[in-house]
Amino acid sequence: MEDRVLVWRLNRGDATALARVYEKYRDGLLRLAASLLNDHAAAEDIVQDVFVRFAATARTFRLTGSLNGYLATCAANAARNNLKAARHRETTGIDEDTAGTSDTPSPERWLISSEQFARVSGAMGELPPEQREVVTLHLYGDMPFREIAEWQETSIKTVQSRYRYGLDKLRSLLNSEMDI
Amino acid sequence: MRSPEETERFIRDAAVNADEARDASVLGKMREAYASSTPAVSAQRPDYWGLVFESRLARFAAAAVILLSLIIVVGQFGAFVAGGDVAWADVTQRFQSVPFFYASIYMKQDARSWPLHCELWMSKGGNARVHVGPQVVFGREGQVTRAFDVWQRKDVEADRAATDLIRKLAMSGEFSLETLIQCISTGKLVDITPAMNAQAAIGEDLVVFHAQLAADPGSVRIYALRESRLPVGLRISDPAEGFVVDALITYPKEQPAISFDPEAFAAELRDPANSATSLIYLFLNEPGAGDMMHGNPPQ
Repeated sequence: MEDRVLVWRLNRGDATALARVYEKYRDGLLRLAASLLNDHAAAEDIVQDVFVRFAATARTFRLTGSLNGYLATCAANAARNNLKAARHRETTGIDEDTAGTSDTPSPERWLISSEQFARVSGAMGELPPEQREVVTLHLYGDMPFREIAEWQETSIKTVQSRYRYGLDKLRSLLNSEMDI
Repeated sequence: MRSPEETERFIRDAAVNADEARDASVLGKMREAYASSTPAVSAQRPDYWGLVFESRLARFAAAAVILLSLIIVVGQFGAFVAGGDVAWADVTQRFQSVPFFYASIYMKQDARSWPLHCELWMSKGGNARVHVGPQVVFGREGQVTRAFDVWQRKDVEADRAATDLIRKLAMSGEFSLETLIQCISTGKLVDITPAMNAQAAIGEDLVVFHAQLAADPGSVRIYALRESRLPVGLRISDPAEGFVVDALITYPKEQPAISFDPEAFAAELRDPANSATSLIYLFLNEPGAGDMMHGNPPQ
């Protein structure tokens, strides 16, 4: 409900609401993007871009679902594009340094990862992309399986299976970590 | 081997932080982008009900959250003063001391519409059960545990409205109606101190707390019993739209633990002997009568 109020304020020109949106969703989006990409520098670029694009459209933005879901979907789309571009660079042999800036670490680090998150993020990197997307969007984006299914253009059962398999794998990968 | 639930918790609890210097830079870029975008909305009378409650069910659940959070959050309205010797804090504290309550909530979107109905059962231990439409949703400590569609007779993903209701009520400490009111007036509204409405209660056994929303004709009223300090009725209304939410709160003896047990509910779900209607009230007792499912006489 707070999100609807924030969007309403932004629709009416109240720029102070931007800070609340940022503060509320910054950590979640950074976690989400870093888990999807397993690359903190690229994740930071994506999240910054998501926030700036949101701000640019905030005056006319219409909230139809949850703001968290909307921002998470934007970040996930950007992460997917980033991975596609990285694969393209690998197959075409384009030098990463000349292909873009997203893989270049920023002078100052934005995302400060806890040890626990570093382990989770590393384990996420072991999952197939579809499973990683489902687990990340569900646990860090708070997205229901139904919405993830729409986004992945597949059935809800497939999404639930991906989640189950993904979680099982993470469970075995993280098992020793969780005992610590 | 840890359970899947523990794995989920471990992943969810993995925190990150952010560097403050970079925060300032990103926020600056956001403000720049916002400032250079084109204004599109004219400053009309704020349609905040339409804003806050966009879909029918979301609108409904959100209104219920406002109503119930109002009485759950102690001290939120420190200046809320009633007549006689009953203070708002007495009412909220009394409400917090009850082990169980049931709320039946009706909402009308405008003067011409039929009301929508939602039911909520909450117990002190953090258990919640919500009935909205065909769904019965169980929650514990702010998290939905399981949700069922009694017509399709299967597990479903909880309706977002019910999820919000369970989540927000458990997190009422961070939900502030005062903030909401200030938000909807885009920061212009400062004084929200409600006044006693002596004309709203002719009987001395009833006290009425009243908050007028200065940015709009909307108002909030809470009806409480003078002697016991228990809130029994709540109303949000916007006379301009004919929008009304009414909640009736009752305090029966605590319901059996099984009535909050989603596993026990699931076990009964496929039994064709249980009708969809009886499933909605499965394991719940009607105070002073029998169980709500079969209408059995009280034991």
